[in-house]
Amino acid sequence: MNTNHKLRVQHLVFSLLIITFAKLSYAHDQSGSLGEVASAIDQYQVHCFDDGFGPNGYLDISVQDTNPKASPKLSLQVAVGNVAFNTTDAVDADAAYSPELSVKGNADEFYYVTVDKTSAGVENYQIQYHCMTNDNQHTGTEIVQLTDQ
Amino acid sequence: MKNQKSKINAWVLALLLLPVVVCHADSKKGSLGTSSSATDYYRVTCSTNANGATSSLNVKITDLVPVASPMLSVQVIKGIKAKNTTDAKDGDTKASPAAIVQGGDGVYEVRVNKTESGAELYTLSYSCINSTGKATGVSIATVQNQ
Repeated sequence: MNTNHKLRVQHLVFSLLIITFAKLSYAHDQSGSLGEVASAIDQYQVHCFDDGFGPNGYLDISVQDTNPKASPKLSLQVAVGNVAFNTTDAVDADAAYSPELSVKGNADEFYYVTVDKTSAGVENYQIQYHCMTNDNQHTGTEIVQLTDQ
Repeated sequence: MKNQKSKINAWVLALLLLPVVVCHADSKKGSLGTSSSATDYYRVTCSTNANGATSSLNVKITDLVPVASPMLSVQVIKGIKAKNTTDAKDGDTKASPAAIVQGGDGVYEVRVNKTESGAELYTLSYSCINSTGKATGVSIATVQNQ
C-alpha cells in the first residue's frame, strides 16, 4: 500500500467516523408506553439549550404509534409559555410518524410534552425530538420524564 | 300532621338542592379550527370557599354537532399529575368520562385538541370539588384559542 492510498483509506475511515458520530448525536428518540386506562398520560420536560452549536430557536417533535396495533389513536401535545399544539399519528404500527410540530421558544427553553390516547388499551410509542437553532443547526437537547402512566 | 308536612317540605327542599350541591359544574363552549394541530388552552383555578379546600378538578368534554371524524380530547395537568379524556362519539349529548386530577387548590392547565384536521365545536364542563364532592371556588381563563 503506497502512502497516497494509505492516506485515502485514513481519510475515508475518518469521514465515516464523523458521519456516524454526527448521526448518533443528532438522533433523539424516546420510547414509552401508555397503560390500559383511557385516561393515561405520559409527560416529559424537554430542555433546549446552547451546547456550543447556538441558542435554541425551536423544537421539532413528532410521535409514532408503534406495535402492537390497537384501536386507540395516539397524540402528542407540546406546551411552552402560553401556546400549545397537538399532533396525532393517524396510522398505528406503520413506519410513519405523526406530522412534525415546530414550536418556537427562547434561547434556553423548557417545553412540556404530553402523550395520550383516545380510548382504553395499552399502547407503545416513540417520540422523535430535536432542539434547533434559528439557522437550523441541531443544538443542546435533554429530556426528563415527569409522569409515567 | 303539621310536623309531618314540614318534614316532607324539608326533604323536598333537600332533594332539590342536592344536585346543586353535589353536581355543580361550570361549562364553557369552544371551537377548534381546521388545522389538526389546533389546541385550545385554558387555566382553571380552584380555590377554597365555604365548602372548604379543593380536592380535585373534574373535567369532561362533549363533542358537539356537526358530526365530523376528528375525536376530541382534553388533558388536565397540575405539575406531575395529569389525566386525559376523550369523547368517543361526536354529536350525541353524552360527555366524555371525567378526567379527575387530585391536585388541591391552585391552577390546573386544561388543553383541548383533536385527532385530525376539521373544525369542531365542544362544551367543556369543569368543577372543582372538595373531598366530599361539594363544589369549591372555580374560575377559568382562556390562554389560547385556535
